[in-house]
Amino acid sequence: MINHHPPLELLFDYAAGTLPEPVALAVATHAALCPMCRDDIDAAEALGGAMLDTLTPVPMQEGALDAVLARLDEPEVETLAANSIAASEEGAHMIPGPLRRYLGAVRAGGWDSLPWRGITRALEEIRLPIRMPGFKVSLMRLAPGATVPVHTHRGVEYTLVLSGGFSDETGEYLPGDFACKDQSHVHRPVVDTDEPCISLVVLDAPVKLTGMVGRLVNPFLRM
Amino acid sequence: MRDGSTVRDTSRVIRPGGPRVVLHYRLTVGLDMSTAFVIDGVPQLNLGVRFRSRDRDAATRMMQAGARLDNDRLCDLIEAVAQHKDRRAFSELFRHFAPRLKAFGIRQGSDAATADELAQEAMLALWRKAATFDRSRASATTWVFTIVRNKRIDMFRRQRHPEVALDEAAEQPSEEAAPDDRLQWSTAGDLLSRVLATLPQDQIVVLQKAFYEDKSHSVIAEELNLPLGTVKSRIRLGLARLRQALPEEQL
Repeated sequence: MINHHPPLELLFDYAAGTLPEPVALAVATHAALCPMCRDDIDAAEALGGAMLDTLTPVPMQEGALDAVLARLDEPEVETLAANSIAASEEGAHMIPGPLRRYLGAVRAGGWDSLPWRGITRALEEIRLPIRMPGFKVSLMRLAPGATVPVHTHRGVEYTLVLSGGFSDETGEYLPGDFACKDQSHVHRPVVDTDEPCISLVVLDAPVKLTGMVGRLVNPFLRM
Repeated sequence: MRDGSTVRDTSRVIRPGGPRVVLHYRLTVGLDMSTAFVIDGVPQLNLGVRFRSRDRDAATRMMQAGARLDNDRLCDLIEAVAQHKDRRAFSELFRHFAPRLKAFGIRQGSDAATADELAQEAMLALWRKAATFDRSRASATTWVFTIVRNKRIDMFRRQRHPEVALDEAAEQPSEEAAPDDRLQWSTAGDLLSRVLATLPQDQIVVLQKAFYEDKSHSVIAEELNLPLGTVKSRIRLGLARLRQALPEEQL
């Protein structure tokens, strides 16, 4: 049961296509796990269809149809790096589809087969290949019992729990739960499940420093 | 036929000795009018033209730009492309959608040539992605909207739009969004257009900025010089209004 959802306006922005790719990824991954939010996205996309439909058509250039017909057999060229992997790979099914497309090969063992990089004893990380100025997109794996030092944000931190869970002042977060924290939140998440907590974390601006120690040990503060 | 609508037939011979042309039009108490031509008692192509009576100029232009097809027909055509690589079906889809996609590009601030390119690229994507279309999930127009949205992000922002794929929808069966609920959005196209026309102007402005001008809700708030909460509540009200309208009208 998912208890924490993205705010409706974020789902709306996703449907309108106005979110930056990292945030759209967090929303899409949540929606892959949450039928309720998927329905809200369907509604907003249907609204987009209706908006498209109310426009007065503008005739195409002469020859446009022939030009497109001539290109139908062209091989598809991915204009952006694909990073896609076969969904049939064993272990891949544990990882929600929208996210899977940003990861390298996922082998049997699912999450464990990913190239985790140790940051501290309690924390490992994988940076995802989305290069956008001002954003940091990663998977974070926190050991059971780990706490993240108190921090606040200058921008917004989006967190989607994928496995395990954590708690903070605002409640308990389990797989599928989505948290959205801005400068009004000072939070201190604690991993209180028996298994590690794996989350997709998107930071959308440099964070506010809460102290030298926090800066050194806290990858949530690193851009 | 919905309650309160009337059917009126006009019958005239355009040319002495020529065929008898009958124009059927159905007036719904709301705003729509749909027409069908009958020549010598034989129904011709149902143009399915719907237009708001207070927007006749637009309707005339729409007819000039190509007949409007209904959702079932569009779904059939997309499936023909998916299953048989049917170029005639694609051409028909092109004539229906491309001028609308071009209008979408222009409304978003592109010049005519760029908007034409966007429309062509989106139609090419339609050809390639036709197999992913599922008429139980979205109307044809909504699906095409998502294609042009993604193409716009790809072309102008050089980013991707991570999609919630269909297989995942199947993986997570849920009572929260039963198939019946999902069907609503796939069949609601014309209804949504009509509900849209009844929304208050302040909500319409927000929707236009989001869908036509590619602006997120926080940018909209800045531009309109409104508190973020106001913009959020307008989005919520607009979506809630659409939801409320659905079940009654679809019964």
